[in-house]
Amino acid sequence: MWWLVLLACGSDPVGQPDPDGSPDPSTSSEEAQPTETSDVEPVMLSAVEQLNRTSMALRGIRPSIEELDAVAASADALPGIVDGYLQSDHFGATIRDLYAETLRIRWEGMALPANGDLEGTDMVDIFTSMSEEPLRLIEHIVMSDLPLTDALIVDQVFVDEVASLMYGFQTYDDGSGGVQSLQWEDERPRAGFLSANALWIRHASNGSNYHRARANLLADALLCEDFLSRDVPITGTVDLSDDAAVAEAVSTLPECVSCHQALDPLAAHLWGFKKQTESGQVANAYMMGCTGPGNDCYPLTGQYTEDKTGEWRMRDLRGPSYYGQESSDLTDLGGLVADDPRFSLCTAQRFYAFMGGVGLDEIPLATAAELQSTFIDSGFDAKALARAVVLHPDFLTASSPDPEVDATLPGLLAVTPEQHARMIEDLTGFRWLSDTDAESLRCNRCWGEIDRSLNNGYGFHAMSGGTDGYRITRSVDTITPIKVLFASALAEEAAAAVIIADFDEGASRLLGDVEGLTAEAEIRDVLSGVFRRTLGVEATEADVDGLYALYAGAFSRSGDRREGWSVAIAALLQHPRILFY
Amino acid sequence: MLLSRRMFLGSSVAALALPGVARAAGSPKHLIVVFADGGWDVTYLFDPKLGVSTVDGPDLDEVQSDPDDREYLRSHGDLTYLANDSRRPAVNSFFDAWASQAAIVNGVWVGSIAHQPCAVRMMTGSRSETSADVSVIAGSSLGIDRPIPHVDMGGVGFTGSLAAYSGQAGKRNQLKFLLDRQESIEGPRDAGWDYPRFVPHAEDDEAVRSWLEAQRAQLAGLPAAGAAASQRRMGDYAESLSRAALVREQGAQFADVMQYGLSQSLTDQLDVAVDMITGGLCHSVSVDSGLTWDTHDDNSQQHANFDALFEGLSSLMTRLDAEGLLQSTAVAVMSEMTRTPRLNEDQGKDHWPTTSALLLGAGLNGGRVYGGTDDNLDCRAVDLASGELYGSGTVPRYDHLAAGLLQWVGVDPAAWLDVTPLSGPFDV
Repeated sequence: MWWLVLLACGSDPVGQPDPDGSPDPSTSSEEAQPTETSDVEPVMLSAVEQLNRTSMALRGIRPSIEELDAVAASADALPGIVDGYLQSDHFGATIRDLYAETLRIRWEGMALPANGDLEGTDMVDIFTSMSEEPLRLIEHIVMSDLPLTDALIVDQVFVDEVASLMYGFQTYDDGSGGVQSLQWEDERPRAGFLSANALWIRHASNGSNYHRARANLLADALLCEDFLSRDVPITGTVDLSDDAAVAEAVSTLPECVSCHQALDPLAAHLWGFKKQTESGQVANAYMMGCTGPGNDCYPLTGQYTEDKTGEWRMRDLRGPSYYGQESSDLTDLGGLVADDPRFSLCTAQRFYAFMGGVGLDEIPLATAAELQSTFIDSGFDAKALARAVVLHPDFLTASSPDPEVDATLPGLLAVTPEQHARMIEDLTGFRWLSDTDAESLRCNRCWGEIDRSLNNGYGFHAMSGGTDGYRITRSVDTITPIKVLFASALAEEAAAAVIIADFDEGASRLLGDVEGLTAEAEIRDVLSGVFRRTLGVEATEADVDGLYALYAGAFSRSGDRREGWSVAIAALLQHPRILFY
Repeated sequence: MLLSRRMFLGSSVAALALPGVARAAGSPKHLIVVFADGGWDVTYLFDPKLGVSTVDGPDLDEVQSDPDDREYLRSHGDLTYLANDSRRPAVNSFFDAWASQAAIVNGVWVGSIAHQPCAVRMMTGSRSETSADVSVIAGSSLGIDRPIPHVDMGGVGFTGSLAAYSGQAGKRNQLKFLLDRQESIEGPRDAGWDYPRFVPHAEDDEAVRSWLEAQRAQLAGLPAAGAAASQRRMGDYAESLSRAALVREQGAQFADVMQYGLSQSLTDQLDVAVDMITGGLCHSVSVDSGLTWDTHDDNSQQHANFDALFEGLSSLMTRLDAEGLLQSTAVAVMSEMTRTPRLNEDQGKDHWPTTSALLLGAGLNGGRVYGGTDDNLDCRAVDLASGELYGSGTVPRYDHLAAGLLQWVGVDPAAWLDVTPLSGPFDV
């Protein structure tokens, strides 16, 4: 068992930084320090930089002033602060982001139209309801301190008003509204988010694929085993449109059997789920006058059909099993995945890859094994795993003199669109909300009020480095010209919002009561404080000089102090430390 | 277009640093990649199989009572394709005008039957999503003096390590709003106001940019940014700051050529693509055809798709000709795969691991077809140098084609792909 070998690998504790904020050399973990360079020490991030990185990675927002003060006083404060981060709603949002990327579930093309019972519903609400369905369950498991393996096992689904209408949940309490924790009301096997309608609407099974693409999604997402990375060596001797020929080939031809002997039994678990439910199908059904319920009319009660679970027999395909182990349905499958050491290793890799901005194949095996061990020892506690990731020496190391080790370090990380939006909102209260109804092409496809930072069809999400859940499956790990332009526009709008809030509404979101300030020293003090709040580091005299020059220049030119504050705040909100952490 | 001195110097340095420019084989060309996302059926046009009993071709769709609805082989010299005057008239119109500047490559082996791996392979010539695609490489290698060397209009591209040289326009040309901050965007619902609510004066904007550049340099010099990954990203950021500044200087000019919401039709998209090239914004463009090619149900939808595709291509070629760009632009029309020889039970077709490509523009040995498949839609071997069918030759793969495309547009393929280019179709 190769994973047992990995489990035997270990590492030293985190090197301790200088609490005053200056980066110091420190001892790195054993596996990150090859013998031939063991006398040369890596450079750790300063305590403040470590705090910023952990805060952004776990929550997508800046540390508070109190937290900055705490680590400035003692670097030992960091683990305790991290524990607090893991209890926050923002960490829950990060978990949803992580699994959105893993499951490629936030694909706007999956959103079903606003017909029938959903008439008048904004598309953005339909899309959010659908895409977040499995993600809310995973978030709930993590935030409730339950084993992450429960996300593959429990009989639970999080339903909002849209989902209730879309799927016809009888147990949804209309009076209470909101997102409610319910159980599936049909016969489907209970297997956590594997039972989710939205997952299988997003990942349709087309033509004669017979759920194989869905099975590969599970293998890739949960076990890091991507069958699609291999070549398909088929030739014209196999007619892929002929079920009998395909069934024969995947059972007898060696080049086919090598994948299909594992893939097809996974796929056999999914025959009960409807092959595809696409926007056009639903829209056409309503155009034909359907009144529902039905397969393509709301409520979509036909997403799972028990009678179809054995249809693999009719196609002469392999029945359900799990890499040779006995399995009869999706409930068994969830349990078998949970027990598979590849699941714990893959989860560890995915957490590190997501938070560290690296590819799965770029994570040192020793690091992955160490995290896997932590995850297992904690009883599959995702918080413990996330904690181990952000406190891992590699994560907190600035650089290494050993080029081979240095090449594996995450380094300064580029902010994702989700983190960017969350951070700006946390700092200023601003979200780039925008009504798109006038821009929509058809009335049953009106997206409504969207967040331009997080929407692809009308906004700048993928343009600014995010995924689209379809073709772009990993966030861009660097800063692009479009990202710079987007960051500038977002900063300017956020600056405008915070100036209006603080000047006109007395909201004290970021600046406080500065309208009457005229003395340079007082203005510099405010700018210094805002610098620290927004960027998470102390401003130097030179920093404040530069920022004050921006303020003074705009004021001098316009004669309007608000203009001065606006320019200074807009500059801060697009600072490189906003874009990197 | 005018270049700032900083960008001019920067571009010179970058051109030296980027691989693939010095030993380019073909003359430098703009590249427009049109991607038919979903998998086209090559037997409807590029790779006719009329009368082949092992292939369910478009002749099965013919309405016998309509004498015009007939599939037949149509030739312009050595370029033969499958025509249907009734269902795909735009194809005929296209080849009537442009056959001499077109080449078809059939029988390209892709090696997968899943959309994403196939798209990665066809676009990048590699198996990795973290590789840059040919259009991005062309832009970054040859259009370094453009503010955004490569623009992806449909979200079909892969930027790899060249992300700082590429940008997405957005599905509705949202880029317009970033190019020119004065463009109005709807505010929140019922708010009663629109964005932008604050756009700095040009003098202040310049001061902010200078400050950000100084702050970037300061951060890049800190030990915290010491790791190789940090240095790479900080380098990208420096590049992106410069490019964004250049865009801002002339943003309104670029924004004028983009119309928000007009990316719905292929013709509109391609028009904007040419506008962006002629306007000096970019060197290469990737465009999604915007058509639904993944016809697992009702394969006959391929007729309308091809007709719409060629209507767009006719418009593109006419426009390139009018702009005087025909001799300096290469157009590669690709899809990630083709479809099975046989219809499935839903009268659709599933995925098949080969495909074809249509090449248009300058520097082609045009007016003919290269490569081919047998009656089972298996790829036939060719001589990569000539593109001629050659029994003991090589089955042309996605990477051979990608290397050939790079060579065609003037980028040395050896710098990017360790493979012999399929060079037969190209006059290089």
